Amino acid sequence: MKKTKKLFNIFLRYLKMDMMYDLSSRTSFMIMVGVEVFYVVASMIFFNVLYGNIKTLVGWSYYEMLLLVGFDTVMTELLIGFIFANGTNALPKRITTGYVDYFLLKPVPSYFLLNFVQPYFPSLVSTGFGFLLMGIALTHLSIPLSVLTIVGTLILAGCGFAIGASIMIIVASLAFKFSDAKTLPRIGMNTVIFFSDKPHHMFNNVILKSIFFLIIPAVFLSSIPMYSLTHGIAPSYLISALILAFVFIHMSKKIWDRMIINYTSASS
Amino acid sequence: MSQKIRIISYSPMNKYLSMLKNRLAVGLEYRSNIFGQFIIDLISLIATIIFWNAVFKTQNNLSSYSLNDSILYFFITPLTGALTYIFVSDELGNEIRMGAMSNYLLKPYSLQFEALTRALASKLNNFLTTIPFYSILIVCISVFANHFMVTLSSLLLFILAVFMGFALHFVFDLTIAYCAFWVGEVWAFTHFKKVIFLIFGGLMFPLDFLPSSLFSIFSLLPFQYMYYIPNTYLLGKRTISHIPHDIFLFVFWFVALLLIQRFVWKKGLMQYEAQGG
Repeated sequence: MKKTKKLFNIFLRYLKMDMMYDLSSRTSFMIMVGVEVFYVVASMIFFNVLYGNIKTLVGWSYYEMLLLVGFDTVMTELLIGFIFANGTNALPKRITTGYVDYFLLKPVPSYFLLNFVQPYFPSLVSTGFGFLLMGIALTHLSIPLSVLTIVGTLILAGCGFAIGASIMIIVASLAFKFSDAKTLPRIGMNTVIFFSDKPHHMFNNVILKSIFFLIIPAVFLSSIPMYSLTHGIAPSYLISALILAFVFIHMSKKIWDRMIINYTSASS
Repeated sequence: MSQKIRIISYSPMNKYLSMLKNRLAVGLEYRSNIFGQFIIDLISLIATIIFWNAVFKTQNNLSSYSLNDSILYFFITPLTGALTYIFVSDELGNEIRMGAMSNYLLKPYSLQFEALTRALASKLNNFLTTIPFYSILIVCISVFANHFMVTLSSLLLFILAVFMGFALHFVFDLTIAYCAFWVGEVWAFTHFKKVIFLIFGGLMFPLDFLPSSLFSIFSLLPFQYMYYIPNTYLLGKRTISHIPHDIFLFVFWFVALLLIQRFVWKKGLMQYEAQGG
């Protein structure tokens, strides 16, 4: 408990520093937020074009898809902001420049220090636009939301985030083995986000189900939480999400520890 | 003993060819990155196939596209990207920001041409690595779907369209790199470019899916040359009758973007300062 509190305090310090750093150059910050907003707008154009031609997509109506896109924007931006932008994405460069030494010298686990502690603030701000889309969708869907459903959805979303983050860390940690593998972090991120914004009903045969519900369970990031919010919490999804989150976190830690052994300092 | 001094005169072409050779060697040094990009494209293709399969479950056609047309369109996309996509702004933007551009300013060559050698080298590297894979993939999918659409004329038109896309993208990307004269990071602009291509360039969907009012606006912009125009030429959805219009629009946008690029470069140089040695 004491250790968790210490890590949380370090995280808050870094968050504060990062916020100050990003806000110190306001023009760049506004441009970065603007780009993230434009991406959301681009997604909206796509779905408007698509739903101009079709009525439903694997049983999902326009507003259900809007809810999914909104929630996926929130989750993706959180993954980019907390894990990818200054974490896994920077890892290959930190390895080739020997900058990892700087992190290894600190009395904090490298798994935490190299992956979580430098949030990318513009992404965190951009989650607001995802919430806006969700708000619009929920107004049109007018679903009666109970406390139990909201809590269940939040647990599912938390598990989805843990699974997504773990996959990203597992793939990025291979950079300790392959020198200057700049594309590895993007492979990890895209493995998750290319599939997370798709309704899980698209993965409708045994092979696809095995892959996207078990091996790369990207459906737990956005689709299953939003389906649960609109159709009620299914215990089977909740239990699966909790087990998968536990397994993936454990696996990512083990693989990280195994991969970091390959690191040899290139500095000094 | 008299010593003969051999004076080697380098023609402008020779120095840029040497740069190109160097860049080719650098590009092939880390082959894992090329393979990595191939994996990313493959993941994207799998996601695309799953998505469009689901869309076409309830109907046979979207606009004038069948499921096979759509899937082939998205399979051609990485091939087009391997030929037209330019990454110069990432590297050059960083060099401007870090002050490393001073080295280039002191040397007897044009930075723009040096950037062009980088872009060309990355494309030539693709010819040795990813392009054969994508080409085989397209042929396999065409045969599998019994939907072979490549003819000699469509291939020639595709090559012409790719050339136009490459030229426009290069000038556009240079202008993005120059933004580093004013802002700390050009990463956001590079990301912005990708989002623009997603919608306006036909990367996310063929522009034919748009309502006619939007389509007529989008088809006046230069971004369609990056993916949509080359892809539709190869698919045979665009024919030789479109060439005069496409070339005219290309020349217009190329001149316009070139002028903007020169203007931003001149303004940026006035802004540029570097410390240290």
